[in-house]
Amino acid sequence: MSHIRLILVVSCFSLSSVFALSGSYIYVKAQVAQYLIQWAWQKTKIEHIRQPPWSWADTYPVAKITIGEQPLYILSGSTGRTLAFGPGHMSSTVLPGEVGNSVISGHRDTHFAILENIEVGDEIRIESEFTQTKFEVTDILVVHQSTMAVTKNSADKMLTLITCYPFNSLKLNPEMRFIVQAKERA
Amino acid sequence: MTNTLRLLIGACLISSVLAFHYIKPLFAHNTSEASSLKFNVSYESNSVNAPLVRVKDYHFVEQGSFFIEQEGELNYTMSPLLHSHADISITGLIARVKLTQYFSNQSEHLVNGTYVFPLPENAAVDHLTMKIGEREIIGKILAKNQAKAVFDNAKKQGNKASLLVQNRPNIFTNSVANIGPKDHIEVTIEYQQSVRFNEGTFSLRFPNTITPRYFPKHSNENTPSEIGVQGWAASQKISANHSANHNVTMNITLSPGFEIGEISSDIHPIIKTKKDNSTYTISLKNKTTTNDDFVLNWMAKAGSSPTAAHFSQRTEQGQYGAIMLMPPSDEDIDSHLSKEVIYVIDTSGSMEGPSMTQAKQALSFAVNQLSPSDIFNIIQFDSKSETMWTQSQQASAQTKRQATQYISRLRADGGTEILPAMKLALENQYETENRIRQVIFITDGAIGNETELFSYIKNNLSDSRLFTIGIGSAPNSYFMTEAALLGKGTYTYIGSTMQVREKMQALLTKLSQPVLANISIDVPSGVEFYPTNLPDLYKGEPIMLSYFSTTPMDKITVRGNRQNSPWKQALSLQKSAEQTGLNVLWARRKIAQLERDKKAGKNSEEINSEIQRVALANHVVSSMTSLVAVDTQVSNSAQKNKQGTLPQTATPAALQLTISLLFLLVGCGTLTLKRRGELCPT
Repeated sequence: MSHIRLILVVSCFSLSSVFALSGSYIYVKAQVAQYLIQWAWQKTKIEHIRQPPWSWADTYPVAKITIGEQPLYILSGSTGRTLAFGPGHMSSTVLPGEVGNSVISGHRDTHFAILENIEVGDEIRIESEFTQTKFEVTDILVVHQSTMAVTKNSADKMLTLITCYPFNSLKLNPEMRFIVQAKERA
Repeated sequence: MTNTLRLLIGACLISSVLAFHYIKPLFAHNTSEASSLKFNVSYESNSVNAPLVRVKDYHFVEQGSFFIEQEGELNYTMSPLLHSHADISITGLIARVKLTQYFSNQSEHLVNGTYVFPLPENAAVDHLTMKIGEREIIGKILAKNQAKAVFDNAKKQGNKASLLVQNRPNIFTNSVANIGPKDHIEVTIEYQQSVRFNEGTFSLRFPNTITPRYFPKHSNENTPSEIGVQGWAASQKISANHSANHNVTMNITLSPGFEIGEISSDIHPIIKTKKDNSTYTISLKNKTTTNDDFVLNWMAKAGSSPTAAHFSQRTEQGQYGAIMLMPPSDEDIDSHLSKEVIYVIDTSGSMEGPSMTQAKQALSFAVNQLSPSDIFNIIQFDSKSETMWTQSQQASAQTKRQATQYISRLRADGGTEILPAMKLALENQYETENRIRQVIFITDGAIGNETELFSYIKNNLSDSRLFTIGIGSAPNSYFMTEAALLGKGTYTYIGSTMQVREKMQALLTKLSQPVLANISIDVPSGVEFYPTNLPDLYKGEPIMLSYFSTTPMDKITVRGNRQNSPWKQALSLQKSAEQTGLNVLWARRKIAQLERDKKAGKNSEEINSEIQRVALANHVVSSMTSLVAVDTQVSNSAQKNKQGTLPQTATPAALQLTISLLFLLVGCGTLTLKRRGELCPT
């Protein structure tokens, strides 16, 4: 009897650790990758080359975004693999800081968790390879995932940040997206 | 319990707790409900006490809708659309549509508003009439900026005005200013389009929806409860309220110029009235709500399916014409030309996840549809490219099995180097011994060196045909479309795993029956015809051309390869039926070609001014011209074919940590029980 209990206790604790580690791994990866990307971004800005943050990476930093006090490095491409390491720039849109609507998506649980508390009027700063631009949040909305209209181009410098909605949810593939749009501050 | 075990359990416990408490807060800043509440409230307040729907941005609209601007407010009120009516007259290859929409301003104020509506991609809008109360405003064509200035000025001065702008090739907006209280508004738009002809059936589509509808009816039950039913997706609201109010009536006069065999509609029940053998009038049985596009199909009487047609229009400048030519039907042809198919699949890191699943499904499906006389090979690429076999193999049961295994082992990893893969696919073209060669390229197109790839494809295509299949949430549709155009093939977009079978089946059926390749047209010099780059024809597809000539033409010659031998057919143009509006059709096709040239990187300023010139001369709305129109949005050509979904950004992190915590609790619980058991001996 006590043997079975013992096995039960041990397996519960081991399973608990496994899930805890694999869950935390996502956060750790998100955090640590940003340091490596920071290095790659410095190099990009000095040498003006596309610098993958690690040799086998399928992506490279395209800009630095600062929301509130938190700087993040944006990677090219909005694919699942890229987003694990940093917010991703949707490659069919203009680069951040260029004229037009630049679309950036980030993980709801890690990098873009910060968007939950953003408000209209907040400042977002973008440092691109050659320029620095200040943006001001103009719209915050929640839309269905098929609302491609939010990626529509614009005549002015504009940012569209996308993350999954609702925040703090356990659901894996939510259908709603949280959209933050910002215009260049005059 | 041994000490080691206690230690182990202790370590597990500590690591779990540490992980949960110290790492999560780094990212999850605030777990209160404040922010989600904030949104619910603001949207709720809009819908309570207000009979009219308010939306923030009319670009989310799904159907033709009228939006009224709110003074000093950021959002719009959607006016209930009372009724709309379409008069469609089909003559020969052209449909002329007169679309009237009736709206009303129910408020006590003067309002300004914007009417957003869908039209077919190939529609040429050339006429607009606004009847506001008793005032009738007739649209004039002007350069886009000029038109906007005129409209803004009128708006400021309190004059009624309207402005029609092409937002995307299939979405138009019409802004109106200064509509009086309780006024009714009538908007009449006239446009022209060519009819489709495929597999012996002519068809005409009348769009009622904008973009693929993304919110299935009554889907509220499926949305997570924390979002709330009053909420969020403005688009959802728009369609829900809208369809209840929006009625369409239709009168169609069908006189194609030949004896009609059969008339049918895809979805909506219709009433047909016969005038004579070649003329019918058609109307809708029900006042339809606008949730589905209306599609009308008609066929010639059995045995007399048309093989060619010529219509012309004489103007002061010269002669405009429309030509349809059907290559000989293939009863006599071995309908299964054997082919060599090279599948190229992108296995770069960006494909990881659902994209890779879709790509693999599509590829397996395609391989298993090959007939035994075909030969095939598979190329996978990421940072490196690799072929499955050094040479294409006969599609036997065994090789298909090998291929299926090969496909199931594919993993997404590494960078995206398309050029070497394209080289592998196009360079190893060995003697094709009467085979047609098709390269099927499956990718998300996440690449940077487009221009280099385009020129490579153009110079090395030889006898191959390139078909692109776009996969994933936001494939680079510009690259895919242009690559297919240069490769004389087509672009297919597969948005979800559910679409794989249907879309692939349609593509493969088409690809199995090529009829005419390398098509070129001989015309006398000075004749301008569109489209200029003609794709291969597959079974049941005709050649459709528009031309302009200063002097009447007597014939054209179509050349091509049919079953690997040269083929040509001359079509005498001595006779033709007179038809109006062919100049508009010609202008629309010319503008489409110019837009294509612009994308291919030709001098965009020159092209824009040419588009403007052609559009102004033919009174057509285009990306450069408006009918009394205003546009606040830049129409960006790369954005035209937006499909797909926004990226997925949720991670399983929170879920895994919760599961971890659950196990921890169960473990602790069991441990406590055990201790209690020890303390209380039986």
